[in-house]
Amino acid sequence: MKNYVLPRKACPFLAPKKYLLIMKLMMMFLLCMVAQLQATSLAQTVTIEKKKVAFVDILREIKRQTGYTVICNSEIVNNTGVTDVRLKNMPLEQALDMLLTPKELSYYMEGKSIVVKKQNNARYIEKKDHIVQANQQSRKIEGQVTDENGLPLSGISIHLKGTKTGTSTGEDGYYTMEVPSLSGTLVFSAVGFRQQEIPIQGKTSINATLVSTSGDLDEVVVVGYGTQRKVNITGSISVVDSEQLENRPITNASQALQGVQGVYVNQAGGRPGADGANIRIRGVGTIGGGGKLNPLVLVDGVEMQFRDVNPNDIESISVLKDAASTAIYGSRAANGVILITTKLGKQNRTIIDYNGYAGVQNVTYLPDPVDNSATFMELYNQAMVNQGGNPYYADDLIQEFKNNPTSILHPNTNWMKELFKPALIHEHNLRFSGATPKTKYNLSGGFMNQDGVLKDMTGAKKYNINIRVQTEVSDRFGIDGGVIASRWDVEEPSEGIGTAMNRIMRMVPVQPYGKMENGNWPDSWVLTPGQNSFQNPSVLAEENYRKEGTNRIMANLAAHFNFTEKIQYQARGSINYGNLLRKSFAPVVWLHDVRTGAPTRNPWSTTGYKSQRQENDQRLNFTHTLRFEENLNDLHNFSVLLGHSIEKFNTENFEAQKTGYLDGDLDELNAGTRDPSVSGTTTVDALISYFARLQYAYKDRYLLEVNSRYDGSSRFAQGNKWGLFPSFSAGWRVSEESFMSEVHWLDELKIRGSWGQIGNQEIGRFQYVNAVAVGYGYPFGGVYNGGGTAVVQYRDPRLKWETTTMWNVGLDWRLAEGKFTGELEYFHKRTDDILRDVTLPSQVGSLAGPVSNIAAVDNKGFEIGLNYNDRIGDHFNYTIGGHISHVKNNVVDLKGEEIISGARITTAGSPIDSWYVLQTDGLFQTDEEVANYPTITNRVGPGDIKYVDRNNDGVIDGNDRYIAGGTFPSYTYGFNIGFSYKSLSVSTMWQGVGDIFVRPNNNMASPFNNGAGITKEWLTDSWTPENRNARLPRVTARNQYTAENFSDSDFWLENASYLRLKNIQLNYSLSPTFNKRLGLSRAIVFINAQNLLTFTGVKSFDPERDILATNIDQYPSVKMMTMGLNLTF
Amino acid sequence: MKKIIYAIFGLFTASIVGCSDMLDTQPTDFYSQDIYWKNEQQVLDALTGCYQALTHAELYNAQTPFMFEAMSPNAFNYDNQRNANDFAAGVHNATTLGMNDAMWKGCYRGIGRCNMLLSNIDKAQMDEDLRARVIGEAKFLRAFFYQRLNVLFHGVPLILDEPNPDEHGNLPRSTYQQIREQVLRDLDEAATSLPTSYPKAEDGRATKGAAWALKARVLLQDHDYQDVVSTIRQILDLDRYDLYPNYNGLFRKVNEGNQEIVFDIRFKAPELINTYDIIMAQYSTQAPVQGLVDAYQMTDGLSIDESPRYDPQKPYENRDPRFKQSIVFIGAPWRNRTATNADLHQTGYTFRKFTEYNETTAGTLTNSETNYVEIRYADVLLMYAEALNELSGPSSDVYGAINSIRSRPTVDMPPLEEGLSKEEMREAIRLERRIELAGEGSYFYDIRRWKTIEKEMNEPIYDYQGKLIQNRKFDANRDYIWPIPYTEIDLNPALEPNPNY
Repeated sequence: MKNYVLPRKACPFLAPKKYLLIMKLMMMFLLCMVAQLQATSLAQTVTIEKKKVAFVDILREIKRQTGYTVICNSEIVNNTGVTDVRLKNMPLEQALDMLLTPKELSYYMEGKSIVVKKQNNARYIEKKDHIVQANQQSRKIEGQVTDENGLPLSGISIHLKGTKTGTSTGEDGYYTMEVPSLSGTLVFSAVGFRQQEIPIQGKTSINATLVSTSGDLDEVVVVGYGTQRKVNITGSISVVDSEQLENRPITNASQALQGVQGVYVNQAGGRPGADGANIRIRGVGTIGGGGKLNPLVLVDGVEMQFRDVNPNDIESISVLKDAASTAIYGSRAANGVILITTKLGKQNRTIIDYNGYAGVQNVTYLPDPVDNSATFMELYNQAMVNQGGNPYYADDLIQEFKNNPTSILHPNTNWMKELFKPALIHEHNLRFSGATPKTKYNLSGGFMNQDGVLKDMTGAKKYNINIRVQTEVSDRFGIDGGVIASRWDVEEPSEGIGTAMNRIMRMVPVQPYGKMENGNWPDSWVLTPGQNSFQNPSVLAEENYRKEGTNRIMANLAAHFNFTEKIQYQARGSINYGNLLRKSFAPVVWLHDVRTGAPTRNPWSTTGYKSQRQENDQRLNFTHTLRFEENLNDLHNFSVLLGHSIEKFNTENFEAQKTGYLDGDLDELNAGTRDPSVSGTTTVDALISYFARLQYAYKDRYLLEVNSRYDGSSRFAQGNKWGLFPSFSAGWRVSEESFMSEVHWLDELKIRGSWGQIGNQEIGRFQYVNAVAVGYGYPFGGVYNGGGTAVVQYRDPRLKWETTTMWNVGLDWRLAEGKFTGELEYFHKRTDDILRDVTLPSQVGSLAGPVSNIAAVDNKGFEIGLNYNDRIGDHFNYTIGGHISHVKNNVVDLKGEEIISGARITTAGSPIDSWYVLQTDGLFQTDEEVANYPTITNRVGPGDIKYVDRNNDGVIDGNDRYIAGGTFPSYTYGFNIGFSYKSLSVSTMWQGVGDIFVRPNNNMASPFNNGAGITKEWLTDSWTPENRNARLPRVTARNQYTAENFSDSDFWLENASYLRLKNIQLNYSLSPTFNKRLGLSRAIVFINAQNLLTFTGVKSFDPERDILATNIDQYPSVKMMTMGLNLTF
Repeated sequence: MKKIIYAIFGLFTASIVGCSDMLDTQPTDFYSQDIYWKNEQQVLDALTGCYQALTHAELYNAQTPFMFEAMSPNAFNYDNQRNANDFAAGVHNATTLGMNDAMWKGCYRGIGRCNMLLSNIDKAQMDEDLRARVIGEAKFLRAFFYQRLNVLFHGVPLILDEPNPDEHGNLPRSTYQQIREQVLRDLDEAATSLPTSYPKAEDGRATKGAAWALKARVLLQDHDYQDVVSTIRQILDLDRYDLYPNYNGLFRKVNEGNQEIVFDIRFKAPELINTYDIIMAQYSTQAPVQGLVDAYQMTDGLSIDESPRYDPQKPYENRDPRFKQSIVFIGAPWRNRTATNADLHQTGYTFRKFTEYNETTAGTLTNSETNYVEIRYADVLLMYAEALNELSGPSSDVYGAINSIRSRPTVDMPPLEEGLSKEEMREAIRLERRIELAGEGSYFYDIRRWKTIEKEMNEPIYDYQGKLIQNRKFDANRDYIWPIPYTEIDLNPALEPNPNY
């Protein structure tokens, strides 16, 4: 079936004069505000006076005047001919009756749509009091119709199969109807839902749950500076809607992107308040860290961080992936753009929603350390002997530990078990939302409390308020505004998580956990070389703190004004303000001799310290756009958007520090007695942009779109500030062609292609200025001379934009009444003039290298997404979806250079940041073998790693390194499997990555690193003369036998591919009768599990980790089990 | 209606035109080179930055300066930071990236800053005498850095202009001789323009004496004894330096700039601190080993093997007083208590030199501001004695130099036995250097110069109980010079690797 959909437009009529003055004033007042494409009020009368007008034009005119979308079959349009029309201020329904009945057509209204049908298969909307009385002996059937989420559906038509007997549901979803007998089949249907048939089989109460059809024809997608019907999209956009996120315990909005096609989401660790995921859209397009790789995130049109938006307030997320979609964001679009839209009221009444859950978090993976002190000491001695040294721990000491039970004097501490415990999480959200014909609103508030699995040391509280109102002041003028406010309180150890985790990974079993009987902290009397003092992480938990509070308020206000029905002006202004206050405090803490009780040492600060840091930022944005739409002869649809935007971003920070804290009681800066120090600075960034979009559609089947943005940025030098970013895209809706009209199984088929260029301005400020930096002072005459200056970096004044050129070809289809949908994409993304830090040879003054336009990188790949949903029987619905993305990253040109960073290399012909390590060939087994093979040092012996002399020069050195694997997954995939049966539904989301490698190293990831512990695998799996087929080399200490066994080599690369059951959710909708008793319109109980199952080969840590990190000093990932309620009043 | 349209378009245009200078932001926390090098103050500030390069962790902060001691037979670095332990054990190789990298980077950082100053100083309007002095200071520092590189790597790229990647990034190594000549040239020029001393407020800057002393060190490195002697005589003629009466006190912050200091690297809390105290007191990562302790003579001037005063049960009694002033041992009064096995868990010893806490002060460990004494008058005297003895045997000047050191009030060691042969005197001077300069990083260079390293660094080291700590190896065909950091060769393939790496 082909349908013409005539998009809704603003209602045109002239405003009464008295409004004009008010309007003028308001326009002046509201010029700096935001406007959104939105539904206007729907006029209820129609005036058409035309002769010999095509039927389709009548419908179009109705749509234009009323704002209703009109949907009708192409057959109707083609066969209806011309008519004379004479309607004057006629109510819409009457007008439709007058127009359609003579043509043997009928209609029904669904939401904001009018669906025109041939009369013989029409579905009626009939009021309850118009129930067709077909038979006096009829029997009465009643029931409720709800959607998958248990929400009552009104206006659902129900008829007895094969008859004209029918009714529809009322506002609460209830219906009653009379049938001749309690046999036959009821058919429940409505636009946007899959038709459902239920046999009566003698029942008098029949409830139905309707499943919405995905890929609905008037599904609207949020795009840059507007919305677009999904079928008309020519770029590459993935969409996440609120339903997919509902009831999941998402602690950071970035996690909402898990499972989105073409998006690599890596959530390294479940650290409360800082568990946002890294998002990479279509590979890594550039070289550099942090902000330079992140996509642009806009919340209701305003640049924000994921962390600052409450996942519960998200209505939809659009992920703009190709240049055609993102070019309108120009210089910030190179890594893709993520548009988040927050919720607004939908129903004509106030709805109160409560959504809350509580649950438990457990770590997914931690190293399993040797936790028996005697074993630990024996193994350490073995390592020393293996290295050619002497045993360190005396036999009688080991024996003493063997002879005594575990105590504070003879500890056998498993620090992982002591420090990481299950932690609670709970979250509550309350929402008031509603809509009137002119106004929609949403008021919501949320609270989340997440304890950290790192017991007593970590935790976060989050408070959110979101207010959004959208109203049509008059028929030409509307406003829209909102405030998103959030507060985070995060607590961590004073030194921060990285250092604290490093300490934890250094703990060994001979160190006592807990306090002595007198409440003092014990020292460790058994020493481990490398750990000169026992830096007990529990002390961090109890005595130190780091408290960070962040506030953020994003307020935005917008207005739109329709000059004519075809020209709309919108202005929006926003303020995004944030501040942070971080206070860290560490008092002097003494450890005590376990035997004598005497104080021994204070392993942290010997004077105590306090630091307080304050950060503010303000982002001001003013954007205005002018839109123009034209339709010629119903064949040519034009739409033009012109826009201008100014953005200013300021930051300020100030930090003060003092030492000399005598005890833990006084912890303010004023209580410090020594060494005050302060620092602070401000930054300013500005961006001025002009952008334009031209859309053209011929017969709704040939689609063309041009986007362009001209950006000026303060990040570049005079003459290089401005960049132009154009894009072109086209689509062909093959299924709309007449030759396809006989292909009934095909609902929709679209071929699209795009080309575009986008930029990246994320480099440091003033990278083009050769700087003389201050702060390089030196004392003369006993007085510090702070005036010292130095040139510490060489800078490149020629800096210009990094430009990404991207091709995209896509195919979308929808088959079998929407049951089977899919899309296929191929893209080629080339980033030229990549700005990267050039490392200079140190002989050039050991200057930090400049940022220069130096490299070109390719990302080529494809994405396939398939989705199938259907039902078995009456109650069993299921959906299966999956997607896979492949990205091949390749550095095309690096001007002949190589960037080697530790064990990673970026070089032409290979992916960015590939592992560049020595090749290994197992372990040496005999002295003879060692003697006949090049070795890395003269200490190598049997049981050590055998490195391959790749260049055959008889020496093992850096020249023998090779590229052994990548740090970005070539494959990311995911699938969703879900089903529902009656009131019960289950959904699962799986996430996987393939072909990615990690190199865990240092504390606990390798043995005895500078006094750190060792994992149990070394007890069983390491080489000994008796265990020659061991997986691991003989036991040695990581930092003392570095070259021999712990050089960066492929021996230690781990394949970090994984498949993970990211989320499984079980929903149960309580019965309507039960709900009614409690005054609820809907109630759902749900159970969730996050990260429940993981399949991976990584042995040292959770595979979803900071890939580039060469240690495992990271906050572990968590498995979260939650249970909650979702109530609608 | 039209008015509204005009108003909107007016605003639209106004905002477009009115805000374009928004993009012209200016740095607010650093200077642009274009506006620098104008006046005297800017030049002096840039010179301060040259001195500051010395305090970088790659040169004189953190554990780095003590690593040299740990790479000598005097001490042990257990945690292998900067691979010092590998260098000491002789298991370093072409890919070792530690002390070699730190020295390469640290010295070239200083060279770059000096070159930047020297290339731009003529642009500034300033007093000509001051300009000459500033040039002298910068040349002294440049020579200081080049000398270090030359000894460790034997020939490095010679760069004398403002750092420029295009011009200097692919320069190959100059020869040892070329660098040496440049160092001597810089030092001669520096000595000409530098004053012999500064007013109190400027104390700590390079002096004429420092330039000559460094020159003597350069000359002695290549056994250029005649020039060493004549250079040191110039220093003696200055009559500017003398031994500080208190051996341990000469390193203390309160005695900063005392008459024995020729050139030191200075720190000042809280702005510019080092971590010497915490390294020595808490980590003892640079721990003296038994071999050094045993080298200290008894108070009668005899070795522990010869002296009747040596009691193996009380090995620390009746020793050269410099022992207790330089080294903390188990049972020593320390930080207002007695040092224990747990405190000195590496070798049973730690250095007392370069720490601020003493027998009766616990100290704060953090915020250590002890200066690192790089060249002191005792070193000058020892160089003088060494050169003179090599030239003409044990003259009275040789005896005088050594005995003045031994008779320092807090040392009070008996004078050297009269009538030593040249060889005996050589041994005596070498021992005196080892003891007097213990913990100061000098012995690392000394044994290279004497070639005794081939024996001394092929021997194991032991802790206070005689337990083996480490076996060490020294390959005379390779280990006199360090490997050029391979990362630098990666960046500049014109750098020729050193032989046998």
